[in-house]
Amino acid sequence: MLGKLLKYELKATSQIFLPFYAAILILGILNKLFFAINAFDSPAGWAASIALAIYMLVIVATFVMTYVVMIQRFYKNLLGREGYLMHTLPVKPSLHIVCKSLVSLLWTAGSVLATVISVFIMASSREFFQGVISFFQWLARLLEGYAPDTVLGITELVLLLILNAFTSMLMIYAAIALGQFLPNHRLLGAFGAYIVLSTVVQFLTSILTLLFNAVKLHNWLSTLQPAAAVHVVLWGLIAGSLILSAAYFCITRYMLTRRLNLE
Amino acid sequence: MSAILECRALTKRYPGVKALDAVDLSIEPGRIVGLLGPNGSGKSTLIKLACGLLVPTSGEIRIAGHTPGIESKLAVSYLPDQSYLSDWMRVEDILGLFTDFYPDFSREKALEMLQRLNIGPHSRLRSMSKGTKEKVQLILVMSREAQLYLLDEPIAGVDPAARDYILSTIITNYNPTASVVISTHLIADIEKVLDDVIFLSAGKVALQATVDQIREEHGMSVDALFREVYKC
Repeated sequence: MLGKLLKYELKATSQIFLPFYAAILILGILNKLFFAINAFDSPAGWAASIALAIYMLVIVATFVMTYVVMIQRFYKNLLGREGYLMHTLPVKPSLHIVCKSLVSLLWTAGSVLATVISVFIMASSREFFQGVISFFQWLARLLEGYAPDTVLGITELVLLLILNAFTSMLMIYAAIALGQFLPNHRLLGAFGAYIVLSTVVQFLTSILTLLFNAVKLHNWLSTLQPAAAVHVVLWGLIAGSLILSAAYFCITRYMLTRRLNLE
Repeated sequence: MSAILECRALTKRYPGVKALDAVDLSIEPGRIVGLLGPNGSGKSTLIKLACGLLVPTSGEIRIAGHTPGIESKLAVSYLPDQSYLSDWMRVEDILGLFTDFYPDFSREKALEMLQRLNIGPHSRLRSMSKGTKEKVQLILVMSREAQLYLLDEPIAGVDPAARDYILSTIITNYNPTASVVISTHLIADIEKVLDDVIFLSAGKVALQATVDQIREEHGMSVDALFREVYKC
């Protein structure tokens, strides 16, 4: 069932994203051409400047849109009139949440990737690629030298990055779902819920910090080997992110099953 | 025979309003039921509760013995009182979605009915008129072999010719062992197809009877009785 949901979510969203990615890549190539013929110093310099400005605008627009589409798909497709169809499909509500967050994550990664590729296109020259290659050589040497710890550390960092993206997404979903408590002012309710959730998380973080200070956690950490201490901290952050994600997920699922109130 | 739809003390409260007030109700399989009442009497609320789109404040609702959930959603084919179609889709996308999610959906049947309206599989939903969208939605809903069809105001917003088309689509396509619940306030138009009627009034069941009973006991049509019961 999740596969089928993902199929339609990807179909619905790819129509929005793919043209933007195409625009980013085409503008990247265009700018590269202008660089190659030194257009900025020629009488046609204004055209090159405009192309560069449009390129940057499109990148900003793509990231804003990634964010907006994430919110809009959840709100319109699950809580708007399209929700009448989605919630009468024989599918568990939790699968809808998983589907929406996976697809959002994918497009976030896609937007980053499209931007990186376009930068590579514009910067492409022998020196640039030599630089990239030597960076990876340097990274490989680094990983060889410190082997297990560094590899593990990088894995932990990547995991933390992905989890954080998930957590912030699920927090927004939870806020939108909580907005249902104000049936006549759902968006206002969602906004209010977001502020409340942020405040609660900040409050909990401060309490945890106080607690760690009280038990002198830093003293204990300094008794460890530096690498071990880094792992402990990273895994602590990963655990925190997981707990928050789980909490937001449960709130959203509760609202979609027990508190669903489609107009 | 066991009921296909059963409500016990079903209550739904919105802030400041009781949309449904301790409703007890039972609908048997194989019936075409008119769910009748003025605007705001709780018709849509009852149907949405049966679909799991709303959660009861108290009481219970069961569809073929199941409380709203995956099993009940497999058994119910629901036509909402507004369009739930996504604008990005073409007809073939929405047909694919119904085929993927509902094992009882007949793609051939839907295609054939769409064909008769000259709607091809590549037509975009975005470019259809409101009335055409409503017909597409009805075709999708009636192309399932469901146990219970819940149709919320299927004829409210359309012209009389389209009304006839919609009614004949419902009558010729429903699975005869299934029940059909049609909510409406336009009684005269659908009276001829109904077996049973349920009158809702201010969230309560004012009357549940067969159409024959009404004609015998009250000596009048459902429409005339409705006008009498709800006289302002």
